[in-house]
Amino acid sequence: VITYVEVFPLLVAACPGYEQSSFAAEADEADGVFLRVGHLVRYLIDALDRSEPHELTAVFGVVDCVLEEGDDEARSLITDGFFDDLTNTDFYDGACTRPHDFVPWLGPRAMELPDVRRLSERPRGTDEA
Amino acid sequence: LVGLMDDFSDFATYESELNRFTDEYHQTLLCLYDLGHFAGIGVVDLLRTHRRILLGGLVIDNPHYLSPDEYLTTREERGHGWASRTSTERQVTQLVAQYQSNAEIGARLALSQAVVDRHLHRVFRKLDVNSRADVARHVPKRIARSEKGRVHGWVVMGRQRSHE
Repeated sequence: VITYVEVFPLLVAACPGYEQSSFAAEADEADGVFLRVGHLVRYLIDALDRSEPHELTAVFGVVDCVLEEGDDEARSLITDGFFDDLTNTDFYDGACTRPHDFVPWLGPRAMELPDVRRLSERPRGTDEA
Repeated sequence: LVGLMDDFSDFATYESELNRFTDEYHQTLLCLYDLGHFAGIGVVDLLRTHRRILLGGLVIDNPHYLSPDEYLTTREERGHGWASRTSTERQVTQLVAQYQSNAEIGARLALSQAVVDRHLHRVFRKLDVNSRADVARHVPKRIARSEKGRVHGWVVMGRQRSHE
């Protein structure tokens, strides 16, 4: 069973570039794991926007693993934190990337989440800018 | 009045509901707000509760005004902003504004670390802020703690009854 405190280190291990990024530097540990995950999501959006998606497969692999094997709090971190931010269009200000651009990397467990599944059902180009 | 309210959403609701009372009487009320007590989001919500505003010495109809019913409905539908917070999120907001750590908030409210983190995440997203300092800045300071000489500016809004 994956616990709440184990999730963030697993996500960071899957995308080692995050720790060296300005997004990690902006994160305040005192704010808690949910908000730190938000900084990681911003990093992923930026990475995809720069056409550097090489870490996405590993990250979304961890996400599916937590959804499969995590306890309630760990899964909540993914559904109410990670995906809440990933589907939040405010996070995409100034980026060409949009939430549905992540669909190719989403695993089967992630695709079972209603808010996430909606991304794949939405025709491209219909997100609010 | 702010000092008597739990937080800003209560105050904004009070301000909106006050229109029901003033609608029954022919009178003009001028509301003066110390901007030192309201920042950013707070002023925008206050603006929605006043029919007219004094701008550059002119009294003008406020295009952003919402009647009490509209304001309360919109508040429910928004799911965003001060008014959309749950009671626990309001408690977390107040404690963050008092510079309490997540661990201290958890101990105070008998919540786990994960639950406090999740509430704080929702507070940040609803208030559209990026730091605990931002949260503290947006929480109205209690009038009792106001100090003379620290007034940053005033905003004046009117409740003049519409005569058409």
